[in-house]
Amino acid sequence: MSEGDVLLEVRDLCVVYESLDARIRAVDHVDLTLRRGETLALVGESGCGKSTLGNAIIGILPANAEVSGEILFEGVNIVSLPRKRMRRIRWEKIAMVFQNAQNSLDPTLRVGDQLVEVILAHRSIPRVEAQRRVKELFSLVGLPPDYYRSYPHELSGGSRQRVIIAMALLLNPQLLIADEPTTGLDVSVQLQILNLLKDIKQRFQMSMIFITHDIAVANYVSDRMAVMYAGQIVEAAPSQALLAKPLHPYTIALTESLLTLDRRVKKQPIAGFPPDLSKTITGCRFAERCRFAVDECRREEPPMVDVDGRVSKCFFAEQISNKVVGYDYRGD
Amino acid sequence: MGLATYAARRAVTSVILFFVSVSIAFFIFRLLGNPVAIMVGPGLPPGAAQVLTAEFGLNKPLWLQFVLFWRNFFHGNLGDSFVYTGTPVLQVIFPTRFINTVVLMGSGMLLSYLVSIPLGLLAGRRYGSMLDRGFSGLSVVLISLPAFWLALIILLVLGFYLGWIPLGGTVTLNRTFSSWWSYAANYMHHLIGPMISIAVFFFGSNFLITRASSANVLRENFIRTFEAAGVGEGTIVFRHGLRNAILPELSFMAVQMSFLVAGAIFTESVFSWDGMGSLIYLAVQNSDYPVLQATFIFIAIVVIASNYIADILYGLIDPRVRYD
Repeated sequence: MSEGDVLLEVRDLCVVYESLDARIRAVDHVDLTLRRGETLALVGESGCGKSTLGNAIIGILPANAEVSGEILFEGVNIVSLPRKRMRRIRWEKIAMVFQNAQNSLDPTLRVGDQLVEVILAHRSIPRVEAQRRVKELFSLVGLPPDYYRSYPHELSGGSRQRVIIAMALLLNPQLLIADEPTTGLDVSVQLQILNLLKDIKQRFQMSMIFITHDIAVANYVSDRMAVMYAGQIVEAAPSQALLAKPLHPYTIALTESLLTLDRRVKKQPIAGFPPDLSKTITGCRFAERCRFAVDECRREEPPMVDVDGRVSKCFFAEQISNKVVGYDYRGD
Repeated sequence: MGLATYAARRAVTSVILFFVSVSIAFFIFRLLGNPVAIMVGPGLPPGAAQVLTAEFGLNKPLWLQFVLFWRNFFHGNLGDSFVYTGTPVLQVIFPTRFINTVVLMGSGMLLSYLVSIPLGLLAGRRYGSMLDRGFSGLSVVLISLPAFWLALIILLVLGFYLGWIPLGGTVTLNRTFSSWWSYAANYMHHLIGPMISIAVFFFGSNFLITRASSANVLRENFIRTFEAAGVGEGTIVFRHGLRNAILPELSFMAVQMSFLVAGAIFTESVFSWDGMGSLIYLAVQNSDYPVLQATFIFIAIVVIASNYIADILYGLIDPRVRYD
């Protein structure tokens, strides 16, 4: 892999939320590489830091967040970039599709005008030209052009999400971050939105970071997956391989919690809770919930282990891979 | 139901509301006691009371008085002032006092809105910052200050010590003006002191209301969308923030509009501003019921009209408002 292939590189990134009585380490020494044209899925349960990581990349963390480490976008560290330059990178280079919360758009303005506003914040072009661009993108994401004059509350959840996607594409970004883009939508609509995202990613030749808690959805859209647990990436691998043969006990547990059509396989929820991120954690973060954990796991933090070109943050990654410790091992 | 239908229907209810509130005013002022008893002193001959009662029409039955009141109302007759004996109430109020008050309150309130609303939006955006805490603290102090004390301090500092503003009145007395322009300049000079008092008086509450709704609105998800999209801070605060945060402030302003015709009793008294506030003060002191009744009617008109306008504006600003 040559240097030119890498679009985004995250090195040793930490994000700490500072509040009056606690310091919460939401992202803890994360390394990540994203190649051009690649879709990387960040998978993990709520509170694992996946959204914080996404927000850190586009630079919209709240004021009480403390960031250290590097985020190299096209070789430039954007963590230390001055506000003004960062504002130009936002949306021109990196755009984001947010979770379809009811209020991702201004309720008092027509959706078309809101998209025009975003274009005009970056480009000095006539208004009509911006309007033409918006209508163009509306048809591209499958919205009728007369939706331009609609207000957000007049649209269905799916249409609203299409508007948000059109908004993300306005300036031809190179990286699209999609943060739980299908949450709160009907299942049938979810699939439409996922297909739309896959389609536009191809068409715009973008890279994508897809943030989700659903490992099946992640597998459907992504080339590679990074599994996050308690602020750290615990396993990263090509999606097919990761799902077929997880090398980290947490990933194993995640795949077991999946619904399958095979009735003989019982769906297993993961017992216990993730650790409190405001406290110092010694050893492996998953140790308390891990069925393979030994004393060493609680004493010492496992390193990232390379196994067949994949990485897993587990002392037993090799054994799991060689089936010394089985991932089809279910309870006692 | 569309906006036009809604506007028409609200207009009808507003008119009904006007008739009801003025009728209530009519009966309240009849309950206050016999004005003749207040006017007739021991020095007058015994027949005087009967003559005055007949003159005012107070010997007629109440329902007839009510009918006559409305008939007179539509003929532009709101009775005669007791204090300015024989002068029709409308002539006591119009045009001088009414205009003086509308100019003073209008300019003072406008100044207050122009300062408090943008500052409130910014403070809500930077919730908990020095700017926010500073102006919030100042607002609480200003709200707690008595209006007459505030007016006195402004008069004392700007007028007496610094000599920047005249000590009272609406224009310099006993002076002939060469042109309407020099008259206007003199009037404006007199306006500064009371206008600042009014602006300061209204600042605190308007600031706090705008700040609170701005802080709520600017925390919503769509603000994050526009931040991420690289939209400038000014657009975020003054386009998205203003449109979404102004609604509670709008209702508050509609209520405040009553001051536009009622004037500010204390401020006008301190600055000897010849407006409605001073007139109300005089009328209360002298039981001048017709004047008070007329002011009540004007206040009712303004409050009903401004609430009507606010309701229409609500629908224009927020498309989610349903008219049904």
